[in-house]
Amino acid sequence: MTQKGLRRVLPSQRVDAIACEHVDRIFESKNRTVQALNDVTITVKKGELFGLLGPNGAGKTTLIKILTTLLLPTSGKAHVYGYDVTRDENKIRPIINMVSGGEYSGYGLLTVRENLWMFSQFYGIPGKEANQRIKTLMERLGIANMGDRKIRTLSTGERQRVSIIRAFMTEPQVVFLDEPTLGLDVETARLIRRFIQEWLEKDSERTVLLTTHYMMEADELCSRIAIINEGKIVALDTPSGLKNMVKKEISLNIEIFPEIKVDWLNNLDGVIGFNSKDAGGNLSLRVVVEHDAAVGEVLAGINQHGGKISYLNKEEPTLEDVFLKLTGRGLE
Amino acid sequence: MAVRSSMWLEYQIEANWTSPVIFILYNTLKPVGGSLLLLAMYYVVTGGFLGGESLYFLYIGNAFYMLVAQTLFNVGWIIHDDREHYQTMKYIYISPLSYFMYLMGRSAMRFLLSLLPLSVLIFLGVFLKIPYHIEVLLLLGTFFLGWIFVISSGLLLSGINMLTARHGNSVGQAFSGIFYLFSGVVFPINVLPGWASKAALGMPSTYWFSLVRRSVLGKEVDSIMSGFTTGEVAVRLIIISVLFFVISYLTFRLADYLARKKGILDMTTTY
Amino acid sequence: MNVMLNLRALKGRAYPRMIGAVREPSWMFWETFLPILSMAAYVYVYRSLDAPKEFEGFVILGGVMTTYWMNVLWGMASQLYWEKETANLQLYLAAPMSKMSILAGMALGGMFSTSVRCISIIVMGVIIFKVDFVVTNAGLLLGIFGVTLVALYGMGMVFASLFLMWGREAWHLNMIMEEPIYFLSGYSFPVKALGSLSLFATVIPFTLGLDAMRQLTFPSMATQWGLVSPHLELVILLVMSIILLYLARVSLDRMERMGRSKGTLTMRWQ
Repeated sequence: MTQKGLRRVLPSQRVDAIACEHVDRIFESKNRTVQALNDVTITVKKGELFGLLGPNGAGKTTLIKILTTLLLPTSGKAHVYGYDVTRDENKIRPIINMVSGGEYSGYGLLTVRENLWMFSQFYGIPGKEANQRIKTLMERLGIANMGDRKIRTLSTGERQRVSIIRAFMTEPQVVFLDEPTLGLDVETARLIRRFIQEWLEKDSERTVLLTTHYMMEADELCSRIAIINEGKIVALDTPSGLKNMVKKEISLNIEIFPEIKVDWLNNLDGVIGFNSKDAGGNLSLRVVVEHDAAVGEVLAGINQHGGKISYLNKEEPTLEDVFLKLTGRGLE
Repeated sequence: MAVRSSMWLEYQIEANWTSPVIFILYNTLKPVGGSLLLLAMYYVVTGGFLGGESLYFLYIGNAFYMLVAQTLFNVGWIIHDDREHYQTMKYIYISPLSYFMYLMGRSAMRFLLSLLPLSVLIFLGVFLKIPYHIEVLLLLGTFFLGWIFVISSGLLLSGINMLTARHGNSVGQAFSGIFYLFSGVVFPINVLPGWASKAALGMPSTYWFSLVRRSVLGKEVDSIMSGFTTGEVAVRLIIISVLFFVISYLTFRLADYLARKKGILDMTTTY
Repeated sequence: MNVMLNLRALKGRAYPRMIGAVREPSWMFWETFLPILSMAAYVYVYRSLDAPKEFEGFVILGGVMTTYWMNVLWGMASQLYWEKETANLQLYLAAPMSKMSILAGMALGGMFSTSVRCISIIVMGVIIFKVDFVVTNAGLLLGIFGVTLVALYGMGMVFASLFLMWGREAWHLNMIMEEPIYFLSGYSFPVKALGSLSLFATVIPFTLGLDAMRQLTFPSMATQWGLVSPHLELVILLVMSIILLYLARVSLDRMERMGRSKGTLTMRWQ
């Protein structure tokens, strides 16, 4: 496949879009050493929308930086379209692009269209073609009337749409989306999700690696999901496959008043994981337990610790339950 | 409290990036380089002679100009750095700490830090056989009045920066050039064209540099400035400094108001 | 190397600089008017010392060349640090073009404002200070000017790669380098006055360029104050340009790799 203005060499059709084998990344500074990635092995097929799910600091962005050639792995091998990220960065860069949620690039004095045009030039897209692509994508993402506005005057959601256009206008084969809907309103997030899905559907060779800590987003978009925690991949499957992991477990949503301490759940037999948050003086508790007997013990424990239950609901397992089971803690 | 914490912040920004030795080197290389430049000019004109009233005049003027230049150099970055680099301006702005006092504190610390290279230059002057005749009390007063004049300039500059874009070069350095040319720093003001000499007499910096020479060399050799007694120079400096401070303060307040009105307190303008 | 890609990238990065200069005309005040005042002070120093008129011309030419040097330091070398701080650098690095084309784009884009400043300095020199330039060999003068710029920008690219690795240190280094380099390059005086130190000073490309240009515009001073013949200076500058451009390429690659290894390329507020 060739793109006007920029020669892109794609290797054989059979290679995977992304392949990581035993990737480690260690950050060393004077005071401490942090292992951001620990033996990460994943394979993403062409045409996949692959999700990387994990809490803040789990290593998602580090992995994206390695795959986008901004960071070298400390050990292990990582390939994008068959090219080694350590040696072949010049072959990878023409076929990838990236968006980081919450980070807005460009120059404040330039308009939206000028900023986008500038970035298109870094990929060698002829001016006329670049302008056409920018126009089409701006219309598609609902900011067609904002081309002449200076980028510094845009809202968060509008800026993020510009970032999405910046990444997709170069017609990459693999797009890395690092928390692309972070801090966006529901409507803008939905628009961006729909755009990503449609973009993928147009060409079976296109691939997206998406990191998020929004469970719903991962569940809705991704064909497969890797759960990453403290730099390690702790599970990798389709969303339904992951949810099957906790099918036999029971998920309870409980509202307790007044707010009580629930540390004792850690020592309770049969409790797989729990997540609690303040709900205006009450406590909102989500618990995943192994069997029915444990349900009784949880309810009794609440009673013993002075809590009264105002609401109780048993739910179908979600990705959050999977995460609770695998890491013993909540995602958000 | 506000001044103290902003002074601390200025010190951290200026000094915590390196070791003390490098910090001292960093603070002295630039002023020493500037002085060597002038000495070389003097050297080529006199055919290798490094002495005489003119040399002492320009050496001392240039050494003390470093207080102005270095302070303004840094103050020139504060607004643009806070607004566009660290993107903390809006947070500092809405905190109980007054932004005005914050700027005062940071420029005060920079002024204090600039005393270090000044001391080095004064020391190096011994090797040039500069006939020091230091009047301690007058020098202390000169420092204080200098500080008022420099922070007023910093305030004026900050006001302008609130409304303008960040450009590549240091605006503070460029701004201090006004004082370098029109205040009799490295040459007597009578060398300037007539209109410029008159304009120089309206600037606080002209009187400040005159006081500097009187307190360090014990005399004034500028033919126009020597027409004033030390007391007259001090009184004029105080009056013009107060006026300058008021003008700078009002300009800053106006710029502050206009920046809020235009909604540009958190703009990014880099290009 | 994909030439079209890199030319487009160069044009792409030069564009914001040119547009920015038009949209924010305050640079005329900050980057042209005010710096000229400081420079004028050096002319008056010579006047106060009753120096020959040619020395005033030396300052004017020094002012012209330092303008480019400032563009190299502030507009290009330290700019990668600023791009990192504003989250643009990672996009530049993840894009397929050569980093040299981005740097060249910054430099070329900044050329507009730099050239306005240079012309203003020359106009001021001729009209206000009545400096009399006697151009003896216009071709050679232009050649030396052009090659000096290539060498200067090559050196700037080497610095840019160093600044990419360092954080705030680079910013500070940029600041402290100004005056010492003005001194070593003879910005306001003939560099020959530095004696044997002038040999060391020739490492900075604009020392030789400036010296040659002064010899070619103030021939009466050439014998007394010229370092070596302008022809020889041109040859040395040519060699320097090639070496510096090569070094720039190697060091940019190496520093990028080192940054990728240490993880400093995307680490902000270092």
